[in-house]
Amino acid sequence: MEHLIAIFIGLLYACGVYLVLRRSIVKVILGIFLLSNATNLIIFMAGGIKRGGVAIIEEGAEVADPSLISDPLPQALILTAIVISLGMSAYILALKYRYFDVTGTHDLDQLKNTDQR
Amino acid sequence: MNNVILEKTTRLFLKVMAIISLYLLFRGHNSPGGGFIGGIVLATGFIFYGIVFGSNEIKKIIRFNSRTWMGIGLSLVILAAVIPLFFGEEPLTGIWYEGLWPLLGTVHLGTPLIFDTGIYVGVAGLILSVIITIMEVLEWNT
Amino acid sequence: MILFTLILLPFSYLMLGLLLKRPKIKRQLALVFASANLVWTLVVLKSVNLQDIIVVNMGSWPAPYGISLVADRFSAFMLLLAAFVFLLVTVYSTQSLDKERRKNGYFFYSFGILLGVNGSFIAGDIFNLYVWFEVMLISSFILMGLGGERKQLEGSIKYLILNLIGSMFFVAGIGLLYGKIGSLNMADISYKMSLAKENLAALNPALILIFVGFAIKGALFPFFFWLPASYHTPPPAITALFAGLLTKVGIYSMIRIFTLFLYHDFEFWSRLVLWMGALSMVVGVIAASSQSDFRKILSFHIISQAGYMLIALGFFTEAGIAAAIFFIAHNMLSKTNAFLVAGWVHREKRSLNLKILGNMFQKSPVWGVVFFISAFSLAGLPPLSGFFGKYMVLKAGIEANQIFISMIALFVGLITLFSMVKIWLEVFWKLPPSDKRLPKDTEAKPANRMLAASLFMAAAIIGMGLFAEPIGEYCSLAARDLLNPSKYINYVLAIN
Repeated sequence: MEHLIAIFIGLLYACGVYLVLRRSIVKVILGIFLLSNATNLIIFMAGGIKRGGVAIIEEGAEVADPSLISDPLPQALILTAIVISLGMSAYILALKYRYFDVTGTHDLDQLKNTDQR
Repeated sequence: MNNVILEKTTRLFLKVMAIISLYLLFRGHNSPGGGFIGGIVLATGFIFYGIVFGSNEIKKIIRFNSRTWMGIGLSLVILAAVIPLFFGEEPLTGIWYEGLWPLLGTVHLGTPLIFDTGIYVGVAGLILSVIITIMEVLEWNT
Repeated sequence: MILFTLILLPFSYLMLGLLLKRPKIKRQLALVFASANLVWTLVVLKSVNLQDIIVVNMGSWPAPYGISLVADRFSAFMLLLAAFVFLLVTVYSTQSLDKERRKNGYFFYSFGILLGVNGSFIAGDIFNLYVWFEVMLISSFILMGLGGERKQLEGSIKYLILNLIGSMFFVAGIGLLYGKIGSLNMADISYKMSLAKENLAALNPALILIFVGFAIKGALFPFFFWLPASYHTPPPAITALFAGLLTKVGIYSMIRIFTLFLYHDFEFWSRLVLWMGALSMVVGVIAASSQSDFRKILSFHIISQAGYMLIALGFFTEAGIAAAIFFIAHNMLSKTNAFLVAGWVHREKRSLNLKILGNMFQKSPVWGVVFFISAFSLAGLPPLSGFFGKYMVLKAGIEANQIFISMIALFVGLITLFSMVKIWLEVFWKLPPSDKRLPKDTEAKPANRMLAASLFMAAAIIGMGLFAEPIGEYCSLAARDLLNPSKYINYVLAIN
């Protein structure tokens, strides 16, 4: 299972990088979403994967058996990362909308005016 | 949109979502659930409501500006962080109260509930603020 | 408690900013909260001096499991400077920024930046550091786009995309590090690394990802390109805030992870850091000398001066790290002040192009002197703070036997002087070209609060030069703590 997810993460990164390198801003934004999801999966993998191991202590028990549950911390980290990317996506899409409003273009090549020469 | 069945269902849906979200909020801390997921569920109900009735109707229900709700959420979070200081504990430590209330039996309350409520209100306010802004910009159903 | 207040103050402002409606109250509250923050950092500095390292465990969870806030001498000093810069920029922006932007939440988002900066300086947990970085970044994204002019939007798209990719490097590195080490507390990671001396190579992928993340935030040599493309687009007051605080947090984190994690594999990392620093210095300064826009020159100099901090870190002696700390402090003040002067010039002339400016000294000698102080402090003229910063870096380099790198630093200092003289001559000294098409002076608007903020900053620069010895001693004390990570570990993990 780990190998499968590892390959999947690699694919997500590849697609993300490909999209980030495109000229259209919308595609770049989609690429960033893919990259951040791949990163979240990396953190998920870092905690190890166990089938059916819910990280909750049973009713009445004092401690959980560490061999039965998977590490809950990476999941908490992913939750934090997801919340951050929620705000980030809302802002980035609003920015894209405004940019399109002002310039009427999706093309990243039109962004050259502010570059250093 | 003038569709009686849709309107009735959406009103019902909002109420059901609100109750589910409160359930999720209160069962948090000891079981899966909590403020964040509760706030999202509540906001989902409002999103459907907004799609059918338009953003002005959402504004009528929530009364205050959605940003004010975010502010109220933040102030609850600050409250939960500061209360332990008066008990000589580190900030954000859980301070628990346990007592026998009439009719309810043993009640177990603590600052984590205030914190979670703050998150609940804040997250719902944030998502509503995003949704209302998007609807207003796109002139959706107004 | 004492550290928690540093987070509570900006956080309370954010809360009030959401609840209150009237812009005037928000503005006055911003000044009150920024001053309170400055006072409180002084309190923190004082108690750090007494206790060496303060640790607060949030929620009473003991250190490796919960989130801890840690302040040692280095972070306390950085907190003080950030609060000082923030207060003065806030005072400055009450007058410099247009009403629209102030009404649309300039103060709100600038307090978001303060929250992120304060949090990053006292984070004792690497994931917490990431979260504070994001708080800071998202506020800076919004400030960069605030107002929605075309060039601002262009700048903020570049800034946003490249910084988001930087964050992804950082967080992926944290994930891998957690997978290998099983801890997120920086002290605990350092302790576990020192136990696993033989197998440290397994951590290198994670550490390299984190390092690249910080290098992007700190605008270092191969990763700096977002900075000059975006820093000249927002209004000058916002750029001044960014220049004073944002990249410095990247450098701060770099020093923190170098002294806690990377020193275990000293040979590899110090060479990398030294060369990245040297190349940043050279590339930044050469690129700056070819520019002809006030703010673009200063933006490229941010990169070049980040290089100085990095080589001083790479020497990795007590003198070197003390020099790095001193240099960051000096740079926060001088760089911000140079941008503040740029803001005044922009307000008077509606342009920052060197070719069409001129004779500003006659218009206002006081501003000219303020610019002179900050620019020549950047270039490193005695008795200003920059001279002692550069002197400490060079002395540390020669003592650490890095003659070649020190020579590069000297050479870069020369070109910096050239750039600063260029701005001075073109903007303040020469007569403006007599061309009819030039923009006319805008009608005189009061600039007294702007001037007061800038004068205070200039006074701080001179003060830092005059009191270089006690400040340098404080920096050496801070460096001694940084070079002795077992002290940090003992305090945080509460091992006696």
